[in-house]
Parts: sequence; C-alpha cells; structure tokens
Amino acid sequence: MLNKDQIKNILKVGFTLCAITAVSALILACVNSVTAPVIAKNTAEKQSQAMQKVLPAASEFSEDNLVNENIDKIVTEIYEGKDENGEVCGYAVMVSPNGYGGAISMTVGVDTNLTVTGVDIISQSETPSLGAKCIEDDFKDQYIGKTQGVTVSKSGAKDNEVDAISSATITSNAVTLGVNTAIDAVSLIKEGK
Amino acid sequence: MSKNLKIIANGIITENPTFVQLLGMCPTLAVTTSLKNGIGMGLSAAAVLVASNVLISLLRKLIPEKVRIAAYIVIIATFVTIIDLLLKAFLPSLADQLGIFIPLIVVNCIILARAEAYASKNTVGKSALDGLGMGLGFTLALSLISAVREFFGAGTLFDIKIYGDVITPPSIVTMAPGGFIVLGLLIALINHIAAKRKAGDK
Amino acid sequence: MNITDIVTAVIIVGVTGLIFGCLLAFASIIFEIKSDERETKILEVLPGANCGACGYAGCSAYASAIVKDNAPINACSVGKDAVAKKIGKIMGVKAGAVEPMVARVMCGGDCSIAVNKYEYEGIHDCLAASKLAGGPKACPNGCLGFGNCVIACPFDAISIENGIAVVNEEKCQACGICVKKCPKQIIKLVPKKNMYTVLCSNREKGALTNKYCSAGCIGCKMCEKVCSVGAIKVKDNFAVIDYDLCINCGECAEKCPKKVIVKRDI
Repeated sequence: MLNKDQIKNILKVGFTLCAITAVSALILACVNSVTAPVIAKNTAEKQSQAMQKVLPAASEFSEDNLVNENIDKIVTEIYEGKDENGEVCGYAVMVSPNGYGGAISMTVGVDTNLTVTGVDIISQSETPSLGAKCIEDDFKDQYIGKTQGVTVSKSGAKDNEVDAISSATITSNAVTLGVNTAIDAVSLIKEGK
Repeated sequence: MSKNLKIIANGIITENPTFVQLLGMCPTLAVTTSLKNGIGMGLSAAAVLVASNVLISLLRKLIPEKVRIAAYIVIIATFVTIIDLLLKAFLPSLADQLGIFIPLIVVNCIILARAEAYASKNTVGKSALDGLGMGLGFTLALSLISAVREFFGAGTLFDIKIYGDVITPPSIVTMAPGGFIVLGLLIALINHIAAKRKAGDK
Repeated sequence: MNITDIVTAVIIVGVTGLIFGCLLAFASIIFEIKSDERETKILEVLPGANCGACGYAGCSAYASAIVKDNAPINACSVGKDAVAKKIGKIMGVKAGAVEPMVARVMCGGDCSIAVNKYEYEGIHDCLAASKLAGGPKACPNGCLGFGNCVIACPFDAISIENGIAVVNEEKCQACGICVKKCPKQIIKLVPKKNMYTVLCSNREKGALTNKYCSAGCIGCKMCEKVCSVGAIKVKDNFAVIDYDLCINCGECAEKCPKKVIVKRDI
C-alpha cells in the first residue's frame, strides 16, 4: 500500500509536529508553574473581598465549606468569618434561590445572633427595570438587621418585613427565600448540625 | 521611506487589518465598549502577533507543508495561553474585563493571516516588523472605535466622566447594534479619505 | 506543579502532535490530486494582473485553461509577445504573434468645445450622470469626464485632461476593463501600430452634431472618398476606421473638414 519513502515521510512530518507540540507544552507547563500560585492567591482574595462585603466585621474567612447534607440544597457554600481578635463573628452564605428568570446567585452575611449583616446579588436574569432592581441597595439593604422568618409586604413593611419591588413579587419572594434559607442554615451550623 | 518603516506603515495604514482588510471583526465588535479594553486587547493581540510571526518565520523552513496550519495554531495558542496566564496572575482586573476574548486571540484571523501570508515566506526581521505594524494598526483601530463608542455611548473616556448630566448618553452605542454601526461608519469614512487621496494623486 | 506533572503534560501533548502529524501526512498522500507542473510554471511567467483581458477569470484560470483546454497561448495582452514566447517554451509550441493593442477614447469634445445641455450637480460618476437624460453633455455619445475609467484602470493609464478621458498609450496594457466600465461605450481597443483615430462616436445627423460640439464628426464622407484602401467608412453618421485595412497614410486626417481624425502623438 505505502512504499518505504512514503512511510519515512509520514513519520518525519509526524515527529516534526510532535516536536513543536511537545516544546510548546513544556514552555506552557513551566509558565503555569510560575503563575498558578499567583492566580490561586488572586482568586482567594476576590472571594474573600466578596464575602467581606456582606460580613464587614470579618477580616478573614475559613477555607472549608461548611455545607452538609442537612442544609437546604439551594445553599452552595458557607464560610465562617472571624474578626480581628480571632473570634467567630458570623458566616458568609452563598445561596441560589430560583427567581422569575432563573437562579439568583447571592451571598448573605449572617452574624452569630442570626441577624443579617448584608446581602449581595452576584448574578441574576430577572426582568430589566423590574425584578432586576433587586440588585439595587434600596431593595437589598432592607434585609440588614432582619432575623429568621423575613416576610414580604406589599405596602408599609413592619418589623421583620421588607417592601416588595413593585410588579416584581416573584423576584422579591425569591430573594427573601434565599435570605431565610441562609439564616436557617447558619442556625443549623451553630447548633452543630 | 526606509524599507523597514514601510513595512510598519503598511500594517498601520495601507493594509490596516481592521479598516482595510476587515480581519478580526468578532473581537473588534465585542471588546470596543471602552477605551481601556480596546487598548488592552490591541496590545495583547499585538504581542502575540509579533511573537508568533518571529517564531513561525524562524521555523519556516522546518515546518512541513502538510501540517503548517496545525503547527501555526499550536504556536499561536501557546503564546496566547502564556499571555492569558500572565494577565490572570498580574493584571486580574483587565483579564476579567477582556474575559473570553483573550483565548479567542488564538483564532483571531489577523494572526493566522499574517503567519500564512507573510511570516512563512519572509525573514525574521521583516516578519517581526510586519507583526509590529499590523499589531499597532489593530490597536489604533480598536482605540479609535472604542473611544467613539465609550464617548457617545457612556459619556466617559478611560472611565472618566466627560458628560452625562444634561444629555443622557445613548447606551445603544455600547451595545451590539451600536458596535456594527460605528464600525461601518468609520470604515466608510476611512475608505472615503483614502479614495480621495488616490484620486487626488491621479 | 512538579516534574511529574510537567513530564505528563509534555508526553500527552507531544504524542497527540505525533498522531495528528502522521494522520495529516497520511491523508495528504491518499487525497493527493495530481497537478500538472506546467500549470504552476505558466502561472509564474504570467504578469499576475488578473485583469481578465485573455477572456479567463484571472491568471490562474488562464494557466489552467492553457494546460487543460488548449487555450491560445498568445491571449495575454498585458504580457504580450514576451510572455507568449515563455508560455510557448513551457508547452513546447510556437507562439503566434500578439498584436499590441491600446485603448482609445473615441471622443474629442473637451471643455473648450463641447456644449452642455444642463448644469450637473451630483455624484462625480459617469454612470450616475449618464442616467440623468444621458448626462450633462449635449452630445449623447460624448465623454462625460467624471473618470470611472480612470479609477477602473489597474495600470493608471487613463487621466482626465480638459474634461475628457485620455489614454496614455505607453502605460496602457489593453486589459479592456475601461472598455467595459464606460457607460457611453466610447472606449475601444485598437492596434497600437495604427496612428489615426476618429475622435468621435456621435450618431446624430451633421447639423445637430455641430450644435453639440465643434469637433464632432458630421458624416460628410470626405474621408471615405480619399481613402485608397477603403479602410474608413461612415456608418450611423460617423466615420469608423477598419484597422485591419488601414495603412496609416493619413489622407483622411488631412481632408477632414472638422479635424476629427487625429494622429497619435509618439
């Protein structure tokens, strides 16, 4: 089928490409070994900053994700936050309730008294200028100071209530569900479950 | 004009990859929403362009004809990955904003086109200059487009607010339709100027 | 990233490269198309202007046609005799002579003598202007002078002088693009050796022609009478030279009362 010359040519071409790819891989592996630790540090810092936004009292966070099987499935990560004195001051909870247009990815800060210290919306696909207003401070900062069992009110929010976004009840309910689940999760963790 | 300067000027003006050759349109449209991103992308692509042109020119006698496309892509991808890793490590905010378009430099037509049309047939020195010229041309084109789009669409330049209180900037300019329209108008303008100069010479 | 990881990466990627390299080389052998090497050689001697004057879609199409379809080897008017001879050597045949041609604009009605029927303020484009009642010139077959031919010429051989197009016969390679581009169709390809041209394409009767342009052919047939070889005939109210018969004697030019027949400057 193929004569000796042709086979020699095929192997020559094959090994040339092999050489080019192997050398490229070598260079990339070396560059990666230099940059990988720096990139890991950057990512950890970014995470830490995001968590600090919702739990301002904390200056460092645990590395371990404290989520276990007892906790509601919409909670993806929980990190324990310690203040400057090394005391546990609260928890940063990543939770993803289902909104109107899909999952709303949010971070909730809960202190040791099960009070909300901050809410941050990471990503959402709600209706622009309606449900999407959930990312605005006017709405989400309402949760600060609330505790277990927050409810949504359509007019004139009282103690443990928040005002809904007008014409965006589903979104408002979703965010509230996220906050409540986060608080419940922290409560479970604190009880050692 | 010295031969070397001519090669560089060719990439910046005569055969500008964006306005004359219309290469690399996808990243051009996506990245030119702000001047910072435009310049960042342009310089990254330029770096890869010069590096790949030099290496491909060095290896041009060794790469067999049949695997030349595979070899070029491997070389270009290696350089792009290096830049991607370096950006993520040392300039993470720029890396975040450019996002997926850094890896997409691999298939940016400009780089493969210059590798195929020039670097594989010319000496290392000339190829380096050609890469530099095309890279600068691309960067200038991106800068021009993003300056227009950021100014008219967001009222800022380099994130510094220039106007916006009295007139609200039309944000459609920074979105997809605006990108196409601004690009089209700039290409028309530049080709018109070039045609007038050519007719003037005649 | 320790040494093991690096070595693993190099081996995996390297072997992938080896496999694909061999695959590509193998495929190129199986799928090889036998191409005639004469075609490549011919393509190298062709001027590469891709003008289409030979009648084929560019130089590679012409090279292919010569090798596969027995196309005439002297069809390249840009390369002329020199190229025809080289192609002849490659193909092993004798080249026929290539008659050098040039394009000539058959109109002498420049700004000083042609009359306009209206003032035109529009796009400086012959095709656009010709759509408005035939163009601003009173003569329906006159050169409009907006230079579509100038822009189209790949050899920069045409220029606008005094409002009409004039061909530089040294630069002209007779590719024929200007002939196709002129909306008035008054550019013609003629053999370069013929020195005399009737600079008019006007088909109107003599009395009307005089109104349009003082250098227009009125179809008086004086040239027809003096031509000893019958090379010039009046058809459609203007004189046309048959270049196969013309012997360059110049009698027609001398006798023409309107001085429409012009001798080429050398």
